[in-house]
Formats: sequence, C-alpha cells, structure tokens
Amino acid sequence: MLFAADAERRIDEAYVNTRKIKVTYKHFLVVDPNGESNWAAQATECANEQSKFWDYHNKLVAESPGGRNSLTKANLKKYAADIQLDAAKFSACLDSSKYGSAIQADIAEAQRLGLDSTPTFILNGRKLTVTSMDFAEFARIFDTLLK
Amino acid sequence: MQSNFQKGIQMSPRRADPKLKKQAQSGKPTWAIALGIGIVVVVGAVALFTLQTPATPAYSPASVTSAGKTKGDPNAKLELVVFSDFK
Repeated sequence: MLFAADAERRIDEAYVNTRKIKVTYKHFLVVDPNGESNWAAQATECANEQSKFWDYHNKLVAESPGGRNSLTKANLKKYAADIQLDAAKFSACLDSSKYGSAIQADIAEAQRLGLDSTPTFILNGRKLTVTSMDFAEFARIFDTLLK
Repeated sequence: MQSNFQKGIQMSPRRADPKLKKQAQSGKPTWAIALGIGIVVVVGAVALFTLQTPATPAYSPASVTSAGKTKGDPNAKLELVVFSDFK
C-alpha cells in the first residue's frame, strides 16, 4: 500500500492525467484473504456499483495507510458515507458478499500469472520488476517506453 | 490711429496647403489609407478566426475516463495493471 500512498498518486498526476497511461486495479488478497482484506475488496466493488471505485480506493488508502488501520465492515461503511455513497445501497451490497466470486477471479488470474506478493504490476502485458516503490523508478521505466 | 490690438486679428481666407494638395494629387495618402484599412481587416479577420476556432480543450482530470476499475485514457500507450490489496 505504500505504492498507493505515494507513487500511485504521482503516477496519476504525471501519466494518467496526461493520457499517457491507463491503470487498472485487480484484487490479489495475500494477507488475511478471508478477513478484513476481503471486506475491503468487497467494499471497493460495492463502491464501483456507484461509479466511485477510485474515490473509495483513495479513501481506504488515506484512512488506512499501509493497511495499518482496521478495515472492519463498520469502518468500511463509514468511509462510504464519508464520500457520499448511497449508504443503504452500499451497506446492503457489502453485507451480501456478492462480489466474492469476482474477487476470486482476480486472485485466480494473479496465481495463473505466478504472482506471489502485492502490489505486483503488469505493464503492457508483462510483469514489471521494480526494486522499490519509488515514483522515480516507475517514471524512468514509463519514460523509456513512451519515447 | 488704431493699434494692432484695436484692429483685431485679421485672418486671411483659408487656403489649402499647397504641399498637402500636392501630396493628395500624388496619391500617397490614398495608398497609406488603403494600407491602414488592409491591416485593420487582416487583424480583425485573425482576431475573429481566433475567437471562433474552438481552443484545444485543456486537460482536466474529469475528462479522463474512469471506467470502473480502470482510470485514464482508454487509448493510452501504456497500460499498468496493479494487483493489490488493502492490508
């Protein structure tokens, strides 16, 4: 999550907002796959129902940097309300666990690709190996490919 | 005997300046006016064209699509897929 807290924001500013890169998020639950990590993933899918996946993603990053803070269902619902999601709809969605299979599909894809840690990056179909989560390292790679 | 003051200022009948008359006859002022009009027309046309041509839309984050779990221009040269979790 250190990636999301810093490098991702800077990638957004320098590359996504300038139309050079598109970023897709996929779930890969390595730590606590049946606990809070799973609820958080479900919660982002429920936010996506209301077209606010990235807003909610950013909210989780802000509220629980590095996954340090508790991501209980109660907190997840509170965060949804904080960003003006339809609270009742969000709550019903989260309680239903209806995105379990979609999340499992992402996990299965990660396993098929031989991934074993998070975050892991696939750039134009190839696994991107980075030695750090520093924005500068990503920028160097992106700039080379964008030439 | 009247002083010059008492006589008042006597003005001679207005006559065209022979030099100006000569210039008008030679066509120089007409040429200058035509040039001036030309410049005004060109500047006006450029200004009008600039105002009517839609400017290239400046980037605003809202103009970049965010379709579901993908953010950025769908036609971007690079695609980064992030496999991650929140813990």
